[in-house]
Amino acid sequence: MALAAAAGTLAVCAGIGAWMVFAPRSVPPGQPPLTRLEKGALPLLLDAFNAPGQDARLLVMLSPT
Amino acid sequence: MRGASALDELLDAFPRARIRAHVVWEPVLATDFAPPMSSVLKLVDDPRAVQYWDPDRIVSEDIVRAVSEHPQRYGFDEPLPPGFVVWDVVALFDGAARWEHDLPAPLRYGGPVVDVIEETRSAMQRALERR
Repeated sequence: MALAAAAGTLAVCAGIGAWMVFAPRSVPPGQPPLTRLEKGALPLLLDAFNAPGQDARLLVMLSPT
Repeated sequence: MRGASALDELLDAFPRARIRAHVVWEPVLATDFAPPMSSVLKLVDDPRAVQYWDPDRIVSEDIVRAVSEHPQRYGFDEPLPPGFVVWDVVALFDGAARWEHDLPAPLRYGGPVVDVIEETRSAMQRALERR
């Protein structure tokens, strides 16, 4: 019984973990899709940062949890 | 989380200003093993925001490199320590600033975000009035 409970708990945790990793992400309306910055992809951010027509720019570094 | 909400309130304070907010989410805590969920992303719901997931912390790494190569340019006396992570920080830049090889020197920066958001708001006001 204890083994089954442990296995069940493990399965639930694995399911939650998989959902957190693979669940689709959506940003609020009007924003471009969430951009994943892989290694070597820094120019994507630089190009967006340097886009003309802005009076001010903010760069904010945050952790998701 | 509170930093994201504080940022959104900052943007709300300047509804017609031409501002672009680049929000870089990066893993710092042990629980940061996945990109931010939609419920987190919506904390910054202003359409002037652009959100990124940076699993390898390449942005922090590049900022640390730039600051360590030119500490005085960014207001530091010496290079940042090895392994330093730029986190829970907000930096304000003039609209003319360009990020080429190195991050441009910000008009103002600081953290934790929630603690410096009022000063950032004041700096933003001044920056917009100058234009």
